[in-house]
Amino acid sequence: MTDTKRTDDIREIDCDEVMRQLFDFLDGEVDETAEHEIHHHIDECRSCFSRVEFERVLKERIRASKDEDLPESLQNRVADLMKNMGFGNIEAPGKDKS
Amino acid sequence: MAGNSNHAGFEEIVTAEMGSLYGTALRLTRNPSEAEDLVAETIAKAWGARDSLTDRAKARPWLFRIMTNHYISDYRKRRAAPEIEAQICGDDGEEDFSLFERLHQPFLLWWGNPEQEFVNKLLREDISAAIEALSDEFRLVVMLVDVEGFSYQDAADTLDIPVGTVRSRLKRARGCLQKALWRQASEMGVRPQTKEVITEQ
Repeated sequence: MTDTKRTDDIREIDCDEVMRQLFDFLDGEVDETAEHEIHHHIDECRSCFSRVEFERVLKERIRASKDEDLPESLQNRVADLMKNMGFGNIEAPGKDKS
Repeated sequence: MAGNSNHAGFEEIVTAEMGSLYGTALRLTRNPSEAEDLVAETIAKAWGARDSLTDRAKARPWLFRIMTNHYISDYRKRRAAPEIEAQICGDDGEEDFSLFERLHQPFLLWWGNPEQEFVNKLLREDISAAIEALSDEFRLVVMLVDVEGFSYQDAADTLDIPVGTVRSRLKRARGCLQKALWRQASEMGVRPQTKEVITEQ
């Protein structure tokens, strides 16, 4: 267990409370105390652990679906646009500068 | 942004965010050509409004706000076709839909894990299609928070809505998204054989 906070300092919460805060927790929107409480609960509750893990993995898959391969036509269009805005001869944004 | 740093600062912001802008524009418009137009127009608008960016740390929500406002005020109006989302989340109150609850079989021990199998079989295109099937309102919060990793506050600033509305909208959007994934899996025949599926058959 990586949690450095003493177990006996942590308020016990039930499964319903974990589920109420599930997405706030996964989104990093709970405070440190709540985070400790949820971690403490799911360390000991297989049912909640399974649910949290499922939603966490699904959330990662959704994040990984991000599509940001820029079409060359857009890169060139933005380069032209910015040149017209007075940016001078700049490389098309998004192009690999290496 | 002011003075000589205008150009350098703006170029830096555009370079850093163009991929994310395009990815979001693609999901919003569901059309590569329109997505390119939306991004290019957003950059032009942002340059015109550069003085309104007073905090460089807020450049991301500022830029996305310009794009989403432009999308809502212009692109959405052009859309003659009805939104697809009615097919997913109508008035049946199924925004509480949970994939986990459909898939999880507590009677299986740890070596049987249908929910994990389900996620493993999801392709990027499955997720993209499910996001694109959401309403504009839901698609926007999912794109900002789940895909782009915005905090609730930044999403609220971008969409000009209260944080509480982001939270509640996100909850409903995720239910709809999971329901869309469930339907797709069913149509593709990759849905695991849960008790419920057997009963449906």
